Amino acid sequence: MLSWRMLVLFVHVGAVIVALGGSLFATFALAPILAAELDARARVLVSRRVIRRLGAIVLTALALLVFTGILNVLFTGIFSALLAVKLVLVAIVIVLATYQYANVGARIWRLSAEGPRAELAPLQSHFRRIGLTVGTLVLLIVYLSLGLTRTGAGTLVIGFR
Amino acid sequence: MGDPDVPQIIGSTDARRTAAAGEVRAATRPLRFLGWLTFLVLAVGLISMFSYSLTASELMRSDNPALAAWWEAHQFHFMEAGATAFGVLLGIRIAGSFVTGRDQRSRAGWVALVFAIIAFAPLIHVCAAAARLGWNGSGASVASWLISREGYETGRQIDKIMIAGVYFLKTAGFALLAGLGLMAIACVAAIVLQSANTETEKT
Repeated sequence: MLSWRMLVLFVHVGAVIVALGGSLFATFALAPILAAELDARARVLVSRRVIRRLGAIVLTALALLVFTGILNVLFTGIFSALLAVKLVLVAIVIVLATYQYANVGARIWRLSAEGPRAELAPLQSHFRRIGLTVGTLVLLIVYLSLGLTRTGAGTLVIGFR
Repeated sequence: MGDPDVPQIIGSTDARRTAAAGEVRAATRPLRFLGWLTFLVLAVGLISMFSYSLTASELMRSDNPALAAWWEAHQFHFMEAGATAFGVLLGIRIAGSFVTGRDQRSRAGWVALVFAIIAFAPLIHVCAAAARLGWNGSGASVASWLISREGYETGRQIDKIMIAGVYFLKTAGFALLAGLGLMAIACVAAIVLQSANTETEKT
């Protein structure tokens, strides 16, 4: 049965899947294959475009996550300490993702315009590390979200309630 | 910071030093008025919050009853609007400080600001409604602890300020998340625009 609440929840969960799945795919599937199959110049040119497009997708998904999340809070009607912790983590994730794509990603985009450069390696490594941190935090947020559902509340949030 | 291609890095201040040229360049900070605007809405929000919690409109009732009645009817909305605006602007500023490049930061900031203006009215309602959701019954125990410690009159006043303060902070907290989200969308717009410009330059 379709209701506003279901629609908002669907978009919320979909946004998590897109944000997390996209980052995981780029880090663990695409990057190693690009490194194995392409020469340095082609790899840099491909990965700069991937970072750009992935950034647009992930940041859009995170923005959707925030707005549907606030609506979800209204629909659920519960504000707990667990939710507060989750919201703080969400804020950290968005700040990190913004830094990852609008700062480090933008610098990679600018530096890699003419192909491989020495300065790119540390930036790319930094980019990957932030991506892994964001991914881990999103997984933690998903785990905390289980605690906010009615069935999981008793087992997952010991110490919070 | 030594790379001339990367003129601005996160955490730098107003007077930006370009190490390559060895000179100090006073770069104008994009959207400088955001700082003043944040301060202004915080002041409006806090004044309204204290006025609401201390029923300050009573003070001017004898001098100007019409104004006192108007302020009493609207102070709560001013508090909500101030808290929401403060949270959104803070979110935009925090996320904006992580964007590299003066042009891109300025562009993303303006886009986020336009989005914020469009979404402001619904955001007030949503953030305030979310902030009204209570924790649990612990508020009552805090009130009785305050009254037992400070006496009835003072304790009640402090409790009222605390309730309004927590409401203000919760509204601002939800609005901060919304501000971060708006800045994320604005960054997407900036990224897409920059990519399109680069493609145009290539062709």
